[in-house]
Amino acid sequence: MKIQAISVLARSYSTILFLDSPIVGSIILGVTFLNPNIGFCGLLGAIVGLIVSHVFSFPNEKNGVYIFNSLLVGLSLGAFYQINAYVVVLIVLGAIFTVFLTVALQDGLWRLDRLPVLSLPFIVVSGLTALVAQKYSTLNNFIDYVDASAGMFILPVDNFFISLGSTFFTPHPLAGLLLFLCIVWTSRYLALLAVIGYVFGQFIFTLLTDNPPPSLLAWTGFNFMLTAIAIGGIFVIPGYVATLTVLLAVSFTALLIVSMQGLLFVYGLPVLALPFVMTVLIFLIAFRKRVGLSQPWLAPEPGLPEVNYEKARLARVRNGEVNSVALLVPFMGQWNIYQGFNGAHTHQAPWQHALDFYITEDGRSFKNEASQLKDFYCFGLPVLSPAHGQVIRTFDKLPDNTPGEVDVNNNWGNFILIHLDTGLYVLLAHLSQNSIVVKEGDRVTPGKLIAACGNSGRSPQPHLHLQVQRDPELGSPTHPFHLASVMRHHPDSASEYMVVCRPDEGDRIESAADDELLATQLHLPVGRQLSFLLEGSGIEKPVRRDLQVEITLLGQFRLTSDTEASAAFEENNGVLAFYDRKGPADILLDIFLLANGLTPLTESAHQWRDSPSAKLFPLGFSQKLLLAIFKPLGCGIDSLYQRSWDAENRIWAQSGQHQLGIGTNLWRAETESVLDPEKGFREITLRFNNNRWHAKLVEIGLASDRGIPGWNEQDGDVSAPVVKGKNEGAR
Amino acid sequence: MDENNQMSDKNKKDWVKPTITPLRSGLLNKFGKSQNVGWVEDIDGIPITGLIEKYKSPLFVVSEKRLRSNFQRINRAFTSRYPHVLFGWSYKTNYLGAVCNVLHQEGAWAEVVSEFEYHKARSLGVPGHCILFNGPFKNRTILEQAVKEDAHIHVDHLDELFALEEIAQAANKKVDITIRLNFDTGYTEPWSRFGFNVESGQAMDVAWRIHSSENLNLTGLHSHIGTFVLEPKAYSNQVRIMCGFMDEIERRTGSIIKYIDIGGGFASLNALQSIYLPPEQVVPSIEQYAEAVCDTLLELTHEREARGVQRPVLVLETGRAIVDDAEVLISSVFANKRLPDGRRAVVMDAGVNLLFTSFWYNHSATPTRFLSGKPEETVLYGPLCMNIDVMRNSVMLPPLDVGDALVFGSVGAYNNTQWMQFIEYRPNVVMVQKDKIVSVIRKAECLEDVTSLESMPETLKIPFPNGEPDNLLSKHT
Repeated sequence: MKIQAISVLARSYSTILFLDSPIVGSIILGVTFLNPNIGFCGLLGAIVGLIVSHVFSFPNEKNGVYIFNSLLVGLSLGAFYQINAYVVVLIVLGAIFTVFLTVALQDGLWRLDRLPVLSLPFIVVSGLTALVAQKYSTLNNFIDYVDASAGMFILPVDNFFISLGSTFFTPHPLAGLLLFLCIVWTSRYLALLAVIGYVFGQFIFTLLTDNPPPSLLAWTGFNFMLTAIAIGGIFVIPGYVATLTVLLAVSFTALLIVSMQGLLFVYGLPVLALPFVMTVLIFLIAFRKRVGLSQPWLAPEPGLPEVNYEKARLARVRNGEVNSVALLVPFMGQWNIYQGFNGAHTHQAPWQHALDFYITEDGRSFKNEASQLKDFYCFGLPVLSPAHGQVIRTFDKLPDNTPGEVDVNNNWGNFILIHLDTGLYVLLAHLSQNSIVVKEGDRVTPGKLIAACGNSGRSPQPHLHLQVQRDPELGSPTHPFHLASVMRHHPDSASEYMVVCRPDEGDRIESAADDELLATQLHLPVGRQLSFLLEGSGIEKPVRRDLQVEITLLGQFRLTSDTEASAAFEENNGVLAFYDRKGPADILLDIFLLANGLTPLTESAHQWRDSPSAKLFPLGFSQKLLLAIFKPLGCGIDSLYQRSWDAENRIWAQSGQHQLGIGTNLWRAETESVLDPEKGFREITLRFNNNRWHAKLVEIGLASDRGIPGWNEQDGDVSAPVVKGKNEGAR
Repeated sequence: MDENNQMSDKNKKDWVKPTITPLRSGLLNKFGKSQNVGWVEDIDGIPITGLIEKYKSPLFVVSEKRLRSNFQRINRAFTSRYPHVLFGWSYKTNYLGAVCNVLHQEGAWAEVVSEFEYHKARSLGVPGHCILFNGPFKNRTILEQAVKEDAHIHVDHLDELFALEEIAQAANKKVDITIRLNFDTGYTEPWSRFGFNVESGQAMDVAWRIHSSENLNLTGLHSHIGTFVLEPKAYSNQVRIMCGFMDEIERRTGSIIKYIDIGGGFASLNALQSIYLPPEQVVPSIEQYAEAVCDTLLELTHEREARGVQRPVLVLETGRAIVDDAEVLISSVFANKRLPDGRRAVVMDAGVNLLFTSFWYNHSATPTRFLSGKPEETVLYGPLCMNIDVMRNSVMLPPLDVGDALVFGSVGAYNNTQWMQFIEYRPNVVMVQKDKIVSVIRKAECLEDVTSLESMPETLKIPFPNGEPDNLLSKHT
């Protein structure tokens, strides 16, 4: 408990710089004690914040957001006034008020547009406390701004570090240097952004003011760095466009610094982090309203740029686009695309992300004379739920238009609106009258029968309209999506399996059916333990290693190795997909991920591509260095997978060809995975640089959980049938 | 001069054969006004006269395009209503290699019912694991082969089950098997000679027996409720009973049923002789059958999906509905006759030897040119020297000339498998393919084909060993 509290406290120091680490936090805590007065006041504020949020059981008390705002309030008072009883009272009251304000603002801002609270509560409260302290005339205004003699390097560099130090009200080059090292240690990219932001911001700042107040830049320069870090790396996925946006945001911050200084000076208030907070909030709100999906992309959740970049890279490879929503095919059998994204007829902005489906045979969507609705091939066919979610609205009382008629008064006709578990909404429209078989409030799963294809609303002929939208209102703007695990049929050639498909007008598609055997054998339930016998270069004699499936507090499944290295995975949408590799180097987990990182659960998949992280390659030191220099944000391997059923040995042989080009180097690797219809992942092999690693499954077990007894299926030779308890003595 | 001649030729009416029609006393004919009969000149763009010229009459013509589109339509009707659908091409309906392979190319497996059909499927290149093996008579040798090649065996009786168990034991294999069921749907006559009865508990006993076997695994259920079933609800009931039985088996024995085979029997657009109304009015559309089957199956397997067990694969053995109207028989008039009761009769060059199904269907008989003259009730006889050789007992046709061809429609099912070499040679079968290519898919028989299997004992090599007999007849004349 105590240790946890200390860890939360330390982390709250690091959170101010968007770094989340108790060690970094402890260093920063030390930095603030360069001036004991400031350090102590800050710590007092932080401790009060911690206690208050704990006593009142505010939500997410451990994420540090209440504490760092209280901490900043303490630091600011400590920076301006010599500590005494009055200041202590002010700090305690301010810190308590900060916690309450943070709770209030945090919820409101999140509801407004999923906005972060940042240090807004601190800015408000420190302004208030400053106004209060002004009334107390005997208070000792103690800060003499920057100690000019404290120069350590050349002036511009000193100024940079002093500005950084003033984030924690410690405008000293040494403080700045230490903070900068903390940033470099956590993320080189953020450090780079901080420098870019500062340099450019200062440039604009000097353009805007010919006679800046003394030390204004030293006290407010950190706004440029924080803005650059937030806009260029934390909330937005890194890239060239994001960097250009940073320059824009930083210029805006410079403008705000100059103007706010003039405005607040009247009341004797400091500018503090206000320009940074305003800039970031304004940019985020504006970015959330964007209609297109071009860069810059907002990160799905705030995080280190290296992590977000990797997520976005993988999302683009696997989903086609960052933030695109995966849906399953909402019908059975083969259908054609009547109108695709940006379709000429009705799929225009802001409803450009939509698909219309119907069925054609020999170019016609109907048989006979098309005089009756039932002459149309798709009329009355079952419509399925394309995702997990909750039905929030249904309507099916409109009659189906007779062929050729259009009901423009009821654009969408009969419809079902599903609230996706991920927060967005799916609309299925033009359904047949009285065909809806789910009720509002029902939970639906992919493949659940929900209605029948019809011809209601603005529909000249029977078809199914599918779109993802941002709000629950009919007609609200659409959001990009894609179909997962699809067979695309070509008129004169073999059908093609696609992990991700955004079909175009005229395409003929079908859901790729899950193969029961593959899906059940490759299923990884919580607690499943796979023990492998690993051998290969650098390993003296075959060693037994374990991989185990764990579930995190937030419900994420992770395959965790006995070295604590782990990767998250999902078994949705007809594929088993691994991502988010964390932890130390681990050859077993890495070859497992290279060989099986993206494994379709349908037998129709014979060939597919993926781009796993380059970090999965067992690179040597010099190769790693090369990678770090050329691809500081990480990069993907070009992987081509092929799978075929080996009838003689009764296995699926899944092979992968992996290529990674860095500079003039081209590294290649090959993987082979044996998927057994009875044992699942049976063998994995990786060949790289004349080295070979091989892992063979020796035991499948279920780790015990509290209250749930575990068991193991012992099996010396996996090619023979499993016999329970056969090798019990061996363990 | 010439022009005048032509003019007068044009003005002159064509000569029409005289017809005899009974005078009816002004009462309305129950069939309505007798209509002029339509005619067809080509099949998929290939002129019929050209076909006869090149391949002789009679001639079977298969349309590849029609075959594929029939399959695709039926396939779509089911796959757009149920997620896991598999078609087994019923070999006995038509096992001409080209027909089978068209359907295999469309994705159908082979459904065979005998050693011969099994061999045929394998010889066409169908792997064992894509064969559904039905039928009450599977000899030991072929059963062993089927087990070895992982064919899906549908067990018909206990003796077959015991044989399978022995074979599986000997092969040290766990064999997935399917049992055939029979039960009363309330709509059709139960075919109780096939499979195990559900109502009496026999089928459940068999499920237990399989469950207790070390080498057998019950993974499928099969039943076939009849043929030319005109009521889609019969299939709803069939699916309902089979799903109920599936749930019971799974609950009691723990087996997991992977597929439900509902057989076939969907009616084609063909006129059964016992049915009064025309087929267009009584035969349900394939979509109606599909809806009856799939809606019920979806509803009854919903819980199953929620339990995390995959819905069973729906296996269909549709034969007739796919192939029947993709093949026609072209036959020519050989002679005209007048019967004592006044009816006109025609002797055709094809009879029940080639068109076995004319015993129970009124196959459409369409002329190949415009026929002038009044339609008259006509009997179409075949060439056989047998009284039963009647192609149509009564059809309204205008007078026909010798050599006029008629196209008998919807002959794809059961004729090329049940035809007989009785008196006559069997004719060419051609397939009209893409880009108007006509391919012979079965050559006309010749004497050698018919006699090649015979062998002659040494003593019987010569019919008249003592010289030709006296020509008594010529002597008498």
